[in-house]
Amino acid sequence: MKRIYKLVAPLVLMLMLSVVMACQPGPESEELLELERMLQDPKAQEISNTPGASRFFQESRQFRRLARESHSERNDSLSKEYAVLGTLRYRTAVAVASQFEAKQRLDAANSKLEDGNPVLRATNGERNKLVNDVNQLEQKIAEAVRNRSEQERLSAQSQVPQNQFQAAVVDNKLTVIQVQDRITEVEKVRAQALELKADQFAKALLDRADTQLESARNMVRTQPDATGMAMQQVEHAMSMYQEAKATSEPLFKEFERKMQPESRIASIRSESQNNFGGPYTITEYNGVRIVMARLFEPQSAELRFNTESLLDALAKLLKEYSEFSVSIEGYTQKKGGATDNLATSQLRAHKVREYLVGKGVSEGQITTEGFGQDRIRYTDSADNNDRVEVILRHNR
Amino acid sequence: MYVGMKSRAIVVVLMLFAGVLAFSEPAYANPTARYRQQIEQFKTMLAEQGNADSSGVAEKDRSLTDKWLQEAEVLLANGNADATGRRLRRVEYALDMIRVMVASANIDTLAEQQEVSFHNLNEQIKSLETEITQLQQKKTQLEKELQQTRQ
Repeated sequence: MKRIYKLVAPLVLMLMLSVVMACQPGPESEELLELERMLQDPKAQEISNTPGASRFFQESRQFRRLARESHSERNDSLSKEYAVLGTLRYRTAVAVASQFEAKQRLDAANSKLEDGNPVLRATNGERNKLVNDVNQLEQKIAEAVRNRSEQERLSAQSQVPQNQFQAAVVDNKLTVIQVQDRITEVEKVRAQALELKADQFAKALLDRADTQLESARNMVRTQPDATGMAMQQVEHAMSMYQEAKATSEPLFKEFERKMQPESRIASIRSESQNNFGGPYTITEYNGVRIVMARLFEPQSAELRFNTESLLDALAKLLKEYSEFSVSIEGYTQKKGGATDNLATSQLRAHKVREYLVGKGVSEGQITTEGFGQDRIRYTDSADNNDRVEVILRHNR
Repeated sequence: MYVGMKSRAIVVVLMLFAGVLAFSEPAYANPTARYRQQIEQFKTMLAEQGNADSSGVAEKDRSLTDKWLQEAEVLLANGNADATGRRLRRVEYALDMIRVMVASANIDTLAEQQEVSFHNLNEQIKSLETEITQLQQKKTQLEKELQQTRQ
């Protein structure tokens, strides 16, 4: 009996164990194991404390419990389903925790930026102020440099004559002699210009040069220390004299050509014909005779009305040809006594001379003579013989 | 009389409640239609999260969720309402998770951008401080130069 018991007992025990084993649930699903690992992670507690994440964390734990219960009830599919849901909730809690951290990170960054912006503004403001200061300084320096340059320029300008003056003082005697020598040279040039009739052909220039030269002379005389300025005036006068000389030279040559006796005689003949008319102009040796017929009232030395213009033209001609001698001959018609007519003719010649002298003709240039009723020129009109005849002759 | 009016009012309220229940009954009574509607809603929500997930942080989960949605559609088509309900619950939870993940990633990206800005800000401030030092030196030099020029 005991031997039977010994044989049966292990069998019964094994049977009981197998029954017990059969009643135990199977291994947990991978999903549940995964959820278990997640919830056992050291960070899980940290996540559970994160605001907003705790709800999802608690739900995941509840799903784990349900999964375990389902597993223990051998409802593996439901257990797996709860495990999946639990995992999703746990990961959501993790995501919420991450979101919380990201939010903190963002807040921190924003806070830094907000803190940094005033610093940036202040730094930028300081930098801008310095830039402004530097710009102003540069402008001030530029202005100071300009002022300094201007002062140096003005100083240099004032120093140049000063230096010349000082040099003149040092070498005063020699400089005065030099100026005087130069004045002598200028005077020679002036004389040459005058020979070329610069006083006619370049009068204004010559006058200015004379003024300048006179001023230089006075300066040398009254301010011997200012010889530099005097020399400048002398040089200026020299240049003007030279210019006057150069201007006058061609004009003078032309003048000389015209002043040749033959030219002058031909010229005066031509002008006489132009002014008084061919019938009243007669060629004379070395000159011309101008007949001024009907110039006087009969038997009188009084000029007829409107004869002044004729005499003015004569005066102009005589002044223009001043190298010509002027011989005024008075005549009368035959009316009246011969003696009276002679006297009247002489008065008529004198009358014309006086008029011409009054118009600027040189008196020494003029001679007068009365011929009375002799040499009647006009037989058709007696009054035409109340005349003067003016003979212009070149004195070559 | 007052008691009578009160009783009548309670009756009216109960009738209204019954009416609401009666009209809402078809949705509860027909889970297939409700699941189909949910599936469409979830698809839209998943697509929205796909657009929002610029960093791709929830790409795998979106893919898995889409797979569950497709399974739900198949299960629903096969008339397996219970399994469809379970899949859709997964999808619902997954969408909650994805929404938070995407939001978290986007906030993280923004934080990173702000940190870069702050870094640049610091760089900018450092650059300005260097420039300020140079400008102060130049200012001192110019002040001396001006003084010398005016002398």
